[in-house]
Amino acid sequence: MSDEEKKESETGSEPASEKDEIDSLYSRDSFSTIRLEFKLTNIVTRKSVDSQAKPGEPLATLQEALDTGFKTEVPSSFCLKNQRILFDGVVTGLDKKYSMKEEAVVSKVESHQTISYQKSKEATVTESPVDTVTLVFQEEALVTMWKELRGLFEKRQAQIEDFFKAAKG
Amino acid sequence: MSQQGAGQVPDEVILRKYLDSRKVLIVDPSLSTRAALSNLMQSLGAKSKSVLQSNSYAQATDIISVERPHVVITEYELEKRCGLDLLQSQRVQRPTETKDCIFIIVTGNASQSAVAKAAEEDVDAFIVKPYSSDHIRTTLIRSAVFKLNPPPYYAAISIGKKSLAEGKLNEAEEIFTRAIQLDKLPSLAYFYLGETSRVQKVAEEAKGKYQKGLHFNRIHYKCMVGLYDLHMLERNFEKAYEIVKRISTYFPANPKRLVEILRLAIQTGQYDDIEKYYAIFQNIDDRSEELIRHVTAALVVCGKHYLSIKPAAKRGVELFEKACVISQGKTGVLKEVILSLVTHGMIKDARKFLPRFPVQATNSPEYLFCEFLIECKEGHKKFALLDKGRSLLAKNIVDENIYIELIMISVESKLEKEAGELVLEACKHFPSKSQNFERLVRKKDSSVKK
Repeated sequence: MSDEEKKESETGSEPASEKDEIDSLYSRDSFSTIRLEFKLTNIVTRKSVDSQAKPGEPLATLQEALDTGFKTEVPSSFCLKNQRILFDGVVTGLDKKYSMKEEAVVSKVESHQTISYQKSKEATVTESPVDTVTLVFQEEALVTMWKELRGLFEKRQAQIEDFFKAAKG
Repeated sequence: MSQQGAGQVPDEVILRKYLDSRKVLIVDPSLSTRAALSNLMQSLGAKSKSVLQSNSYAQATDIISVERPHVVITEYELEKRCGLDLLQSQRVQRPTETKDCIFIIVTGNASQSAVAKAAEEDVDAFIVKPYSSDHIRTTLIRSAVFKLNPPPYYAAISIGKKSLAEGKLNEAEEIFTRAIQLDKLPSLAYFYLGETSRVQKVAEEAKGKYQKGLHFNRIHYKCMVGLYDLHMLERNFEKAYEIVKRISTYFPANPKRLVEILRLAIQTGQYDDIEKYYAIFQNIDDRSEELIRHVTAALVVCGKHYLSIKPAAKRGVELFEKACVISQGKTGVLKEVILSLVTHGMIKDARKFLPRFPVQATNSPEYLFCEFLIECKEGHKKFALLDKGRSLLAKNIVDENIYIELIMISVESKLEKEAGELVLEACKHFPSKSQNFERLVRKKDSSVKK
């Protein structure tokens, strides 16, 4: 057994030839994060909400990716059904920067009641009411664009599941 | 992982039966996400009154201690806390039932550090937002059924773990050995065989088992950690470092791991690796005080090392700069940096670090000491320096370097009585350095005699 092989055996490390393959599968560089930042503007009211809002500013939280659009949480009364919303989004990660600035239509609005809860013995906090808004892209070209963008998240999810299996297996 | 087939119970039925009598906690700052996940869990079989919701870490820990939910679904980022920490609360409440509990992260944070930490903590699933309802539904069912009705290999390991916990070591060993035959990549079975050997205090055998596990899966987290722990126990820091370095490649940016790896890198003299870990540190979101302290210390130690190798002195200064930035003007760090530079005769560089003291710290003992030391080395007027040094001592700013400078100046200025008094005073404060102080006076005497 060579010195190097002995060292590998003692530490459980992989031979150099296999190391490259493993690195390409699991190293930080190829396993980068993914992030979607977006802004929604109601074309009728000109009001905007941002996924990167500072505290106190209207915030939009992306929740669910649908086949032709997405569900997002927005402050109550931001928009009504059938209104048009400008979606200005940028996805970064997975070695790509993908942007999309197109109109979507509000197909559904679900309102959530204000709730109060006891944060500690002293303080009660009331959450602001919010709406879950379903936005859909109507033109076929936009739907295709959206699917590509959604595909990046699916790819990342698949990577995470592979990593979990390998790490815990 | 799904086990549906002829005569088998469909996965959804298994999950429905499980959820029927158990509580679910959903933790997410977003009201609509909680509502969506709550609806999903109810559609999978949870009773409406058994689905609890929280939008904060503090409230979630309270709910876990009172309600003791079996299922926790949480966002990773909960204000300044990490949703992953709730797993510990759940384990504390249900220590003997972990195999019946489910913990799932549903988050907008898909960073590598978040994923790696979750994998290390044995989280059942990690789902990225925006999710698709089909996918989250499938993942929830699959994760839950895998836990509740595992394949024979995992079921055997679960039974073996129970025997191991009860101290029935021979029985555990047999079960894990049998489990090896049940899977093509039996790393986990080898890990538990290693654990059994470790409990039996057969370290070499344990190492062999962990290595075997890594042979099947080279990034098997538990096997790597098992091997690392054994090397640490044997104080074999070089081998421990090899392993932990490897862990950090695949499971980077775990703050706890980074502290260990920094300590080992310094301990084993792997100074060239420190900058790589500094880069990992920069990508960590939750930097604890402890982590900052360790990274700072590692950079300073490493910087000092480079100062001692003349051609690498510039690199040393760069590391000092990084240490000062992350320690945010901590006076102790700045003092150490300036003292090291002065010791290596790099007075101009030392002077550049002086303005890094925060304005409010310019009256601090560390600042006054550093300023005095630099002025001494820059050759300011001797009597002014004597006054300044004396005034520092009067303010109870006592450092052996102040005495050394004052003694040297007194001797050079032919103030022999003063020099003698300073030596006595210095020896009183630093008895172990007496010879050094006395030598300063003798050195001058002998040069005069010559």
